[in-house]
Amino acid sequence: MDLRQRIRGKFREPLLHFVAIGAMIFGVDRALGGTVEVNDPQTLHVTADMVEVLAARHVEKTGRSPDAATRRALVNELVRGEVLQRQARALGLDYGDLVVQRRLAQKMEFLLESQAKLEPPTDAQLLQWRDTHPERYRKSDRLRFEHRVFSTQRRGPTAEADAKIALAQIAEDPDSAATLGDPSAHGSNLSLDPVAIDRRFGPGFAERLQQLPPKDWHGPISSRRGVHLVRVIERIPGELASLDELRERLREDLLRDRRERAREAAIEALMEGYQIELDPGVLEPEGVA
Amino acid sequence: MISYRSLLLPLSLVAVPLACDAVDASATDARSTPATAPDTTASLAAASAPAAIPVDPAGLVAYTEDREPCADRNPLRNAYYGDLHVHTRYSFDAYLAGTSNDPFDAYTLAQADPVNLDFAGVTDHGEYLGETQLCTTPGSPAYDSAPCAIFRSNADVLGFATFGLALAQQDPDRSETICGPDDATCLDAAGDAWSATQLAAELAYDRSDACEFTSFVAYEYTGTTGGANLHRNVVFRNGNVPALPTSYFEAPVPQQLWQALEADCLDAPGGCDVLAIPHNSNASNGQMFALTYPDAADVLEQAEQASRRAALEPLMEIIQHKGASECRPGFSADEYCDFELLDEQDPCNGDGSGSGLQCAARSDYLRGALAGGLAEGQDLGINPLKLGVIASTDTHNGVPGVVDESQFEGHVGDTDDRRRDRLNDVPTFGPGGLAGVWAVENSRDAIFEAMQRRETFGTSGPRIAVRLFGGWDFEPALCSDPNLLEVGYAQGVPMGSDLDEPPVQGAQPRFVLVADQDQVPLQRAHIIKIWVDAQGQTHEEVYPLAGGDNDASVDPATCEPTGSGADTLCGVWTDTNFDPTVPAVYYARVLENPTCRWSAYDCNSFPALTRPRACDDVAQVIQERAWTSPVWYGGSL
Repeated sequence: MDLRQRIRGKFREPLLHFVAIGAMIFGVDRALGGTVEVNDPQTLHVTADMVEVLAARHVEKTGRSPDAATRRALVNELVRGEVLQRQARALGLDYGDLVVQRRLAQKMEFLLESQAKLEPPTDAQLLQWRDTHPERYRKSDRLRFEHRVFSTQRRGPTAEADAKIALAQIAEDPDSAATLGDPSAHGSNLSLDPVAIDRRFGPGFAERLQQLPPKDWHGPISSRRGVHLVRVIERIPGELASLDELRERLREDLLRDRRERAREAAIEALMEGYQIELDPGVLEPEGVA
Repeated sequence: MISYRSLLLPLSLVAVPLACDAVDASATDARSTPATAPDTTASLAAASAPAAIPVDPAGLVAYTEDREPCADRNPLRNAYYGDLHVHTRYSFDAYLAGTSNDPFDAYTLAQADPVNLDFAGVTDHGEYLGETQLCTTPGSPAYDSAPCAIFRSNADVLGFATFGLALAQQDPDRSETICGPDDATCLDAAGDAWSATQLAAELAYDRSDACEFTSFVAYEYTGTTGGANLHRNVVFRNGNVPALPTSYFEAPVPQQLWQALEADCLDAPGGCDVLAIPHNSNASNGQMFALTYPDAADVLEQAEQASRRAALEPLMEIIQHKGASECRPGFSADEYCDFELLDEQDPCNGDGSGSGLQCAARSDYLRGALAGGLAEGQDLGINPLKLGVIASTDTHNGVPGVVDESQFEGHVGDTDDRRRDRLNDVPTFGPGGLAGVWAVENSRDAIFEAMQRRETFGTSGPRIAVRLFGGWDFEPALCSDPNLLEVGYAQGVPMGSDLDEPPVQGAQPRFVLVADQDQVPLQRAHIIKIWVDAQGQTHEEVYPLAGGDNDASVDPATCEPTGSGADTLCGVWTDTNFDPTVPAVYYARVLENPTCRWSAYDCNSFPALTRPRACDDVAQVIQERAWTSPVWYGGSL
């Protein structure tokens, strides 16, 4: 199967994914997570299945299957842990424990996220998402240019004069440009966005190139690298990528955003059910009216 | 005893990032449900149409995938900068450290200001890819199992014992409790995480003719036999990749990894291509570049293994956050080797009999590895260690390419996000470096081909640009020629290549280097020659190539630089000791003026009285640098 298809098969249906998982959290937790079946709070029912799970863990840990005494000890440990846990909860000891709080909050966040009903976005919605976040989907402006550098480090104070002489020479014989200036590692034909131009030549260099009329040689222009003669070949404005090019990315980004929004909305709704009192001087958390 | 930091298994409170993108689908009906949403049908049909692989009329790139040819391409090649060593919360150790970025976030951050990388590959650990998802996704079949509980509770010793130590065992096993019979549960979950990794790379890749950003599907192989770092980043050429990463569990020795990559990728239909990039040989206790041939019955089988290795491993990562692997004082009489070394090591020529980080071996560093490769080439007829150079970060925060010393915020989640902690860490980590490639355009095929031909360089962070050409006919005044690059390619070979035979008796090879500064001026450049004499003895010599001592310095208290340096360094060097019968290898190194190291920024942020004691010992100044891939000369009689 084609890769895109394979990926889509697995990931294009977050809705199904999350509903199913959401439904499972409690079911599976009951089967595996709660170590003991809970019917009434004062009864502990140890199932045979549970003991088998414990025995299997013991084998994994020690490489031996537990004998009768060990099995008894395992059950004892289980019951003891459960009793202590219930008592601790009854006394509210779980409250204020950051580890417990984080873990439960994590499960709750997961549950809230998974309950969100996320419809597959339509093309119109995808376009709208793109157009409200153009900065994410716009290609950078690019400048295609040729330059000759006259290295200050190499030529010292004559770099600028040398560049001027060279410019005059190019005016007489444009083909002579290729024989003028100093070598550089990056070379003389570049196509870069303004951020990269400034990074390479120093702040403000891109701006100066933007102002040059294209096709002809101009200069001297100084940079961190020396003095330059520059010929702008073409300005390529950055365009917003098309829906066809972006469809999968837009869908992923939009669904991510919707999932996060759904979760935050659900948390906000829960928060509305609480009266939140703050000591004087305590800054209000965001989202609390 | 191996240090947990050698495996990057931080001890920390587990934060609560959730794994939403790659939950274990085997636990749901999603997997067996065909994609039926009406609005996906059209694009599904389009995607399953036969792919039209474009042909580049100029022959500059061999495309292996469906994409628009780049509008801008340069036969003289452009420098592109990237990070090919990036962990996200899909990596078990990054998750444990509280990292919440996933591969999708990592690719977004790679393109964001001020990083603006040209390319990146997310390399999550292939080991525990599934386990991490299972243990962190409430409702997964293994979520409530004992090992997962230990994983989440971050019980330091236990969590480490459960996960990290298995990667140091010779015959590692997955946890049956988590993975179920035949590891099926884990492999299933790993497949989901691997698919999400591929999707993240696909969505980040610019297939338009603007060619703004290239992503690579990749992962890290994390074998750590006996504490020796045998880690490799496995980078695929295009979207055609094996169904699952081959991890240490499937391939407990690297030779098995190479075999698997050959069988599952190179020999598989569909245009899969791959390379593996060893990293942190500095922590391999003599093992990374050891020349062993497990189960080879005769010299032919040895040669076969050596060829496979040479084909799959053309590069090494010369620096990353766990230190540099170029050379080391004690092995090399070169003051500039004392640079970002993994501390707590002795140059004891470790041969594998020690363990972990304590014992550095000559072959753990580029120079020793190149020398070993030359010698092996003489003996076996094949040089299995023909290593070019890149660098990367190894961030475990899912934040690629943040290599600016003043911006370093640690690399391993909440284990080193506090300044005091990272100053006191043993060994200390740094921000790592960047991979540089000389490629005709910014596409997967163009960058991958540049890596295969080793036309690459590594930097300790700055975007220095450096070229090295070797040849027989260069003019000594080549640095005055504005067309140096044209001449370099026309009359010589670029870094990563082999010199031809000498054209006439008595000819001496000549090398030309040209380097452009990034934000900081350059100070000096060296060329390093390594050779093996007729007695099989290896030698190395460091020659000044351009620049030299200058008046530059930096005040670590203010980080203000003084003095001047070079915007460009250019130099031509002739090997006047050349002996055509002796195989040799040459690479270059370019140093910036001194600047503040991350530790100076950290130390300066404390008031004098509360300054961590480590600030008295830790280096505060760094001379950032770039290393080229070598040029080889084979030796003939």
